[in-house]
Amino acid sequence: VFITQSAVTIITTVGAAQEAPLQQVLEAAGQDPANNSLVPFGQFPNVHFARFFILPAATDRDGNTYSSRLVFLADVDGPADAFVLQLVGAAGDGLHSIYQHCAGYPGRAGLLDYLQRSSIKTAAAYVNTVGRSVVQVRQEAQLHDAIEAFLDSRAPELRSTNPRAVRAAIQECVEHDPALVWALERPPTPDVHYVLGEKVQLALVGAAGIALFPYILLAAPLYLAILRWHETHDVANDAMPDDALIQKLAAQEDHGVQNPFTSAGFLKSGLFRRLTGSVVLWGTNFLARHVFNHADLIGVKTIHFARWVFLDEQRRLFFASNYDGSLENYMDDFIDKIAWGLNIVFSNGVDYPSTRFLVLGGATNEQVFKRFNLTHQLVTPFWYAAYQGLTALNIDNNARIRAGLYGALDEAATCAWLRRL
Amino acid sequence: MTDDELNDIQGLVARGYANLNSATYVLLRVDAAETARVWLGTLLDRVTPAPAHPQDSALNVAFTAAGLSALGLADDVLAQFSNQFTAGMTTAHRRRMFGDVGSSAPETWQWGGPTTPGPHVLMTLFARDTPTLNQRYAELSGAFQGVSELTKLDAYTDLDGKEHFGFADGISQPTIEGISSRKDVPPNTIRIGEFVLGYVNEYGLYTDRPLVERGADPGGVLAADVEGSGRADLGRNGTYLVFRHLAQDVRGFWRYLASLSDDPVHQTWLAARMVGRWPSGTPVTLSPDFDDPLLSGANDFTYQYGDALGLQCPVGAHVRRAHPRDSLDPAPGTARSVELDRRHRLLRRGREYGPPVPTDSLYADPPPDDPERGLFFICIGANIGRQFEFVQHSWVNNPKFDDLYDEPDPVVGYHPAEGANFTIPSDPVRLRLRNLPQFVTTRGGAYFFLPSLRALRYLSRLT
Repeated sequence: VFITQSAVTIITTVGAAQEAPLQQVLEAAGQDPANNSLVPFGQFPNVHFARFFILPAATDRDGNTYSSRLVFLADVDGPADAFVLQLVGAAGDGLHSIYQHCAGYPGRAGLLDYLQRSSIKTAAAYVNTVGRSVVQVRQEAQLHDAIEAFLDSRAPELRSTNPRAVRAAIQECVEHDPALVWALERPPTPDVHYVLGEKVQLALVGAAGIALFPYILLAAPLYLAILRWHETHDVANDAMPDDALIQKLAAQEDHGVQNPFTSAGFLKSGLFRRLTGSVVLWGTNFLARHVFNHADLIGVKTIHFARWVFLDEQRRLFFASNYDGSLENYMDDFIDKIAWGLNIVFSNGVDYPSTRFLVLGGATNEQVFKRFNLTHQLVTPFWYAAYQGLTALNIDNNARIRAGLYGALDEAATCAWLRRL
Repeated sequence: MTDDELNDIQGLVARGYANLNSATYVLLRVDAAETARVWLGTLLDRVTPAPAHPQDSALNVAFTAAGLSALGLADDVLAQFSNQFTAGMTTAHRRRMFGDVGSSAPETWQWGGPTTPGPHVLMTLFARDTPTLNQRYAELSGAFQGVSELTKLDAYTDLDGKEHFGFADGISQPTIEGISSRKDVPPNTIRIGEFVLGYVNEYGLYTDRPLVERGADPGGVLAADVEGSGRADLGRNGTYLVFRHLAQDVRGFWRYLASLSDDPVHQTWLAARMVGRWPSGTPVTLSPDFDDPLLSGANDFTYQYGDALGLQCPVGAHVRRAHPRDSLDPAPGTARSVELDRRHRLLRRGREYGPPVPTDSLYADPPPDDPERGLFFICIGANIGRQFEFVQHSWVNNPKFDDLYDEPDPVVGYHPAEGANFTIPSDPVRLRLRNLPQFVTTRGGAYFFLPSLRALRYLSRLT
């Protein structure tokens, strides 16, 4: 069956003087996120990514103070509430060791209720490919590896044949491998109910957009005037990142193919930025769900999952993603490919490099933007990734290999399919 | 660019002194700051500037972060240099990025690692022949004061323009706007700010560089910050220099190829897939089947149209990943893709070391006293992170480069124990080389700052 992914977000307040012991617990468990004794995520076949991190206490420019938070994030197959049940059922005692450091924690008996109460909705979530489960990702990787190994062993004789014969030989190899019986069927596709639901939502929003368009047009000059006033009066503080933090962040990067990115900041004060931020993230979420839902976020093909979460009455925002390759590469992708998109979202945040008309400037200021990120990035002491050896491009290619395994292909399509191997 | 500015840039930025056949790299340590500064002052007149076309010898001087500190540069100024430069090449993270683990671990390095005294100064000395080089070196070393020599690394330059594996090297070099004297504007012309600090780079911006308060430059030696901060620019006309001492297992390379094929012609064919160019330098993407001598210097080519899938030049080939031209996302084959590539260019200034393996013993066991050979890889750039480290990590060493799976650079990349593959696309079945051995080992390295001549004078006058 076709299952969509959910973004689980649980935010709790860290107890007084509990930050250091909690950090220790997370770091210790984070040494082995798949098999640690607290929450062994390797035993959850429906978790793509998961992380714990501490959002430190802070004071904003208006003098408001915010307490330190423990954030738990997971990208899972299926509904979020079912996952929280599953999590508490399988790892309740371990979670207890973590959440006992949090304020208002009622004890082991009240754990489930506590986590349910602390679950919040994400403002926007991006999924590389909607509906592709962990099981499917792993199976298709297995299929890819099996076919490659088959070709390695048979390449000399197959080379003198033709594409059709090679494909037939591969099909035969898959059919004779009991571990690959699932590959004889196509992966689950969205059912009518789901497709219809998505179309109805799209249509409703489209209709609302058309109906509101004259008003949007009328309001645009005023909005732009206020925006420009803000943009010319915002004070960006281009701070140098702390060298110790740079080294700490680097210490957690590039152990495998994928990396976690976590950053947090304040929204600029006043209703205007909060409103703009909310609308923009609503739009981001909408586009991620209806347009950028298959392996490509406006030219960036290296992000598996990403999300934006508001907290503290939309005065704070954090962004968390799971991406392929180095941080430098990730930042350059942002700057070179989707600077305008980042600007729209993040220019509502304090200290973001200055923008013009919400889309121009900002991230295109390469080094200032990189410094902004480094000064807002958070260490992720616990990070689990279910398929660390695969890039999003690999996963997409594996899916296409499976999709082309059966069914009619003409000569050219057969050739193209074989070149995926 | 005015002559004043050009004369302020060290010559190594402008040229590799190909006409000066002999070269040596001397690593020094500062023992006493005050006398070392006096020594540096006496050296100023000997440092070769960019406009010079020396026929006898050339000298350039660079410093590590520790070296600048040892000369007396204040910590708050040092902190303004790039983080890559101040943190150095051997952090735990960079070991992962560069594959400097196992036999390449900094602990095993000949220099630059934690087990040997850290270098402070790099002198690059070039001369028209070896006797002249020895003479110039004797003059320079006789005048050392406040510094002592750690290592002297002699280059070997009778390889006929090829590196030790037998391939022409250094063909694709960017042309630097404003420094090159070429009248035409070749397509790979890169803005000077990519290679020299204090100028506009490919983003249309000025790269971060160290600035000092006017009061800290009482002699008014330094130029003013072009961005108008009112401070004096210690970085302007200077740049960063990356030095990697890389040993090449030449016999290992050819013996590996011999394990795949008995036919020397086919071995060279395979090697050319791995490199992406034939021994003469001819790009495989232009001449896939044979080494066409007419194309040996060819560099005006792209990949996307005609070779998008790597059927001629494999996607994993060395030259295709070190300089992907128009082949990467978001829009392969367009000016946008090329624009991205331009932000990751390296200006290479390295030279080979060690005698070549005699061609008649290429496949034989190495003699017990076989000398080490390889490449003193040197590249110059204004942004170590976006240029050298990016190319090394995200492209060359990345097993996932483009849409590959487990394929680091087949020639120079780090090949982990889990296995490194190399796919040669072809119809109907690709050829896949598995478990490539390691051919290149890191023997040393460091990040240096190659100051302007004004900055050199400033450093010699620090108090």
